[in-house]
Amino acid sequence: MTQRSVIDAFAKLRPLLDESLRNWAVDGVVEKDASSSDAIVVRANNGTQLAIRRAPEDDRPARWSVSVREKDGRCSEFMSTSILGLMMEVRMMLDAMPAQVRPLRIGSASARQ
Amino acid sequence: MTSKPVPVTILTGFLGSGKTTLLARLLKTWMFGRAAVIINEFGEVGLDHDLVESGNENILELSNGCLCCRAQSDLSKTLANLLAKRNAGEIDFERIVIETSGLVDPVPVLQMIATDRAINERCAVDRVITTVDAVNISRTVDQYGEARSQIAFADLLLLTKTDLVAASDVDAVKRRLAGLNEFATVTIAADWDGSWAGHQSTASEKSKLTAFETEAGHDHRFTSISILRDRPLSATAVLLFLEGLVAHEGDKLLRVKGLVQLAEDPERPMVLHCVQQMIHQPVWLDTWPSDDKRTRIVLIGHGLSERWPSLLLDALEDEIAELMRERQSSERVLPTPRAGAA
Repeated sequence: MTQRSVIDAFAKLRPLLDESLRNWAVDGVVEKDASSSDAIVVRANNGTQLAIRRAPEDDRPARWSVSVREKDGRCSEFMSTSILGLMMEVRMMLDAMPAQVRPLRIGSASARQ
Repeated sequence: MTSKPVPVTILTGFLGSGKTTLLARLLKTWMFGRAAVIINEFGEVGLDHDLVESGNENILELSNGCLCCRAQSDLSKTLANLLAKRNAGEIDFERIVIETSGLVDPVPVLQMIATDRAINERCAVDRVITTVDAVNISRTVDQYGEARSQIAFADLLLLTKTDLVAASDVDAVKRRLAGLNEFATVTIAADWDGSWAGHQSTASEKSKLTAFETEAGHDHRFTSISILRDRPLSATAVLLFLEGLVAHEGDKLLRVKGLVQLAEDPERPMVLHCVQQMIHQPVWLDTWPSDDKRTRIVLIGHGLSERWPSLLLDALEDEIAELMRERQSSERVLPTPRAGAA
């Protein structure tokens, strides 16, 4: 993983996470990790904190690594293989899941009959 | 001598219920083949006129607005303009079809045509056709007054997507519709040949208008978001985008439609139809309907985030591009199999 691709990935991820917090009605901020240039931090006002990094190439197919410090102080870590997976995990960690997650259904017939 | 009023057919139905599909089919029938068409879409980027593919030059688009709110002005002007051009011999048509956006309450449209003297002397509504999505009807009718109004004012209710539900469900839908409008004829859309035989007209049902008009109203919570892309999208990114959209915005999402330029086949646009949480099997057009080959995706819902869908699509595109680059570079470093090797 080159430094350039890490910067590119975060350039897209950060505004997406920013907007996601608003969308999920989570009070918090998304910012660059002060201690390391290869992570961004999601800090929720309820005390949950997530540090998101690109997963090392040795860990493929994982692409993202997330360290979590939950509001009760517990720490954990998880890996995600895609942006979609990452978004779902982050939302779950922030306690902002919708009442019902709707799966995409694929109709067997075309809409144009 | 007073000339016969031009018949006007109002084609309505909730988001994604199959109006444009039906219109494309109707314009190939003898009865609608010589019709002028006014298409109203909700959203800044109009797509439906590109999807009708009729070869009919009398198709006009009224984009970015709810027809019911602008009926007195835009529609009235458009109708007057059409009739003036017909009188002047510039265009020719025997009927006018107004395809409303899926969020339109038809009452103000009917009222305008019935009460605007400059219009009603020269044209008259003969039928209101409402398409009804057999899959989503229950939730739609429960939640949206526009959908109830569209059904209540129909002369002909055309059931679409009946192939996606069980026969017993179709019967249940028919019972539900009868409860909302006992006067309308209910027919399976795929079976309807475009003729009026056996279907009653609006003229005998005008009393319904006054009875219902105070109850009907337009809900302004709806938002429309347009996504434009100059570069082709990968099919995987599009599918993941829809998956993410439904997972995170599913409760707010009513409709996704689009013309998509896929990297895998950029000369053939993919027509995207998604209604609530269901994506319909995509259709590929043989060619682009115009010189504009940009991807255009329109999302309609209530309370949708304006920026989030576009940011998600950007992030997914980048991720897929990165995966492709990694795959290509790993293929480059794989040793070439030796001839004769086991």
